[in-house]
Amino acid sequence: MKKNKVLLIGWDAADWKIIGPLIAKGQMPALKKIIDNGVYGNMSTMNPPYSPMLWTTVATGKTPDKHGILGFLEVMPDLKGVRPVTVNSRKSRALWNIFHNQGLKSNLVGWWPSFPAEPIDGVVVSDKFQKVSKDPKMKNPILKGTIHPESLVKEIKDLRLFPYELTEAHIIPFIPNAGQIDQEKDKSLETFAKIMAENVSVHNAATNVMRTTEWDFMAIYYDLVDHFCHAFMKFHPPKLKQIPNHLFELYKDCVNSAYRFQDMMLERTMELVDEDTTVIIMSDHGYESGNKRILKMPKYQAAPALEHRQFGIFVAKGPNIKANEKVFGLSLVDIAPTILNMYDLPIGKDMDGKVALDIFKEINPPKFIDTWETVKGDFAELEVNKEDGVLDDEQTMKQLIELGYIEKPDDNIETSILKVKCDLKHNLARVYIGKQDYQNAKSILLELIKEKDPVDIIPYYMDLLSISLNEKEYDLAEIYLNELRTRDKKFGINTYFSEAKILLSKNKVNEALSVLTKAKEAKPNGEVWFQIGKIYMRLDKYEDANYAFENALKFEVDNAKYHQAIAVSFLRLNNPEEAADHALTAIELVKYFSNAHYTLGEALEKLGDLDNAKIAYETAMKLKPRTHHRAEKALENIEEKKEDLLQLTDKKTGVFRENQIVIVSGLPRSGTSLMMQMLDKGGLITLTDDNRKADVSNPKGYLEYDPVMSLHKDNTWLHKAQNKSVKIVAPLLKFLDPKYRYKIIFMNRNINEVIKSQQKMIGKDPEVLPTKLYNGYTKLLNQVEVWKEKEPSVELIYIDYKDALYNTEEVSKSIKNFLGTELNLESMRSCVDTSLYRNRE
Amino acid sequence: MSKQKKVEPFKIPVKGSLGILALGDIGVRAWREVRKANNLKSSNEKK
Repeated sequence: MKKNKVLLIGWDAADWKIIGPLIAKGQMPALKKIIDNGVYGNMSTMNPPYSPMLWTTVATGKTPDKHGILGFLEVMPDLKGVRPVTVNSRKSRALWNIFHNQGLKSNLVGWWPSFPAEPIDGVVVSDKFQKVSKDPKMKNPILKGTIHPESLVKEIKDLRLFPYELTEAHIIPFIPNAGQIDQEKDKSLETFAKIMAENVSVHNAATNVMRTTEWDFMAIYYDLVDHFCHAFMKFHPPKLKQIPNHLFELYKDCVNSAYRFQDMMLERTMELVDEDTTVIIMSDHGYESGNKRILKMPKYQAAPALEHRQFGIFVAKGPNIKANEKVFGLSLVDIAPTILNMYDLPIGKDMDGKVALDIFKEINPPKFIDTWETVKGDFAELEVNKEDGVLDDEQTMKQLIELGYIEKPDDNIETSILKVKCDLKHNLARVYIGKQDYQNAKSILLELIKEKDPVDIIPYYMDLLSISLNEKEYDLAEIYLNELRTRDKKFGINTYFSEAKILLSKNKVNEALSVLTKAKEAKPNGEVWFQIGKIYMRLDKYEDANYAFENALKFEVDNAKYHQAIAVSFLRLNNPEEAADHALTAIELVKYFSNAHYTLGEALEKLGDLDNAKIAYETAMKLKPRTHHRAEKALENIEEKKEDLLQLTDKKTGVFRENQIVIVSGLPRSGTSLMMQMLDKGGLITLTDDNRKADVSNPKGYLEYDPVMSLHKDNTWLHKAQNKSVKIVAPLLKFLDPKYRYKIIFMNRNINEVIKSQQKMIGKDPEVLPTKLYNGYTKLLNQVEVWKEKEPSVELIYIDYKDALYNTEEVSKSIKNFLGTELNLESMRSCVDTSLYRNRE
Repeated sequence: MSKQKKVEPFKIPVKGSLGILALGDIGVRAWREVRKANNLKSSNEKK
């Protein structure tokens, strides 16, 4: 009988950016074979991207606030010190606990963290197994709890490889000129040997238990790629200018060689599984290999994780897995539910992920239970031993320090414990930030900033700053920013994004632009170009925005956000082909990117491909957590267009829209009050508070509504304008809420006349034409033209002021047709007084 | 127990190789045997 088996292989930090070119050159044949026969895609990581947290999320399907692994270290249960994180910190049941309860056998090798080994039905070779001393003279006993069952210790204890066993035959493929290394000054070979030995030990144990035991589920974890990247990525091509030539030449092949060796180990692993086994290979995050590599790490806890990229890898093949297909939208929390589903076991409703149904040929509908945590029975869990001081592990601590993940614990135990406690709380706050649970995050951070020296509270302030920016509490953000600037003497943090955001909140757009421009000149990067582009978009300077986004993409060609941004700029520049191209690339990178689907819809609609535009809009709507009003309206427009394919305009006019809002707009003094009066007389209710009384400039009244003036701050009153008319000046149109349908009557009047009339109204010489104002108005009218095209909920008709005065009947008719409502044309005509046309050209 | 693919016999160099390490437990054990035999041979020759 065929057995349902799953092999889960973790490659910490593996990244498609390195794998892609290696596969293309035929240098990762084992992985390629799996991809050709299976599915592949991006694996989205979580924040903060610290591996023990992430791999525990993989094993539990839960976010770290629930599973309890919050960092690299933990405080010892007897409160006598700190140590590398262990299973004791985990609060949730992992896959292997559930399998044990369900009578399935699991093997677990090297998982981080898996020490002390849990007494499951199967084998656990914990993450302590491979940690040995580099000194040949030192004894390396296998500690109690390293391996389960303990009887296996004598069988596999010889499978640990020691760094001093490695020879030039192992070193030369990685570092061809290793002989030139001055080992007194450069300790890279030591690092190399340690990483290699540890990973070979894991591989030895894994291949051994695969060969010699029966199992249903097996998980193996390798940190080879991650640790090689931390040690050697700075030497990886393309050469960074700060790296000396001779070091680049020495170590430039290391990262690629690590991936190739990982592939060799994979080849052997695959020899040990049968065709009925489903194999999953995945990483917890990617690793920066381009311009964002950091040579000088900031001095704070887990700073090296700054080089972790948002996307890792996911590959799977098996009897029920689709072949050679790309899958999208996977997240670390999805792995445990997906694997449970493979065994037809229920998924805990308290798990944060979903079953990745897209990967299966035949879907097994997921079953659910409220939680696995309260299910009674044997789950092979450990009881926390408060006296297990033996778990203190000098070697692991040392390695974490060398990798830069942790600072050397303070000699003063109390200080050391305090710092670790603060770090863990901070990490929990960051998990909450990642889940957008700002309330919980803030309560932790506000406690943490009360800590005194030697706890560094700058990172807590930075998070409070970013929360206040996300919550648009700009005054508070400014307080935090100033606090940081006062305290930031040695930290070297970049606060220009925050400063720019605060300036933008105060509408100081040019100042914000200048802050970012300075930052860009000091140290250009993708994000700063992107932010500059966003400001240009806000200023409707589409060419400048397009140029900025192009530059952002030069730094990060696989950034979906940048592709989406440049797509929108191309749309505004009337280049739907390029827009569609970039929107598609953004979707390729992040499938569940609602705005990119919307932009693709806009581009396709402009290109006349209505069927596909419809699909794109529908997808955008489905993906948005709340209603996607623009997509909803765009879909309605497409349906109407498809009914009448001969219609040449973008939107069908003359149709009455249920609860439509009629807006009279234009430049001030362009005849908007006249139009409001016409509509009023014609029988359409006007939304007005009559606060602004008639005067000499407008003897028949303004028919205005006070809240309009602050539309840019508050547009929640717009529902009051439904089925009515309201006057809104042109610059405020862009603040309309896209959830309503608008019919806009836009008054056109010769700009010279408009300005003359305005000058007169404010007591200035009407014969002096302020050129700046003239140019500003011309630009504004162009912006309205672009805006009306992009807003699916907007239909707009231009009415010439003179026509309204002298061809009133015709104008009234076209307005009636445009609005699709009954209007009393005679009354509309009667309210026009041509004697009020006073400032003519 | 998992499927066991037969490994074609080949000569293991004393200095080892990445290929042997990639074979996992059987590779490392076989390599250590070769090293042991070689060390014995060397010490016998010295004697």
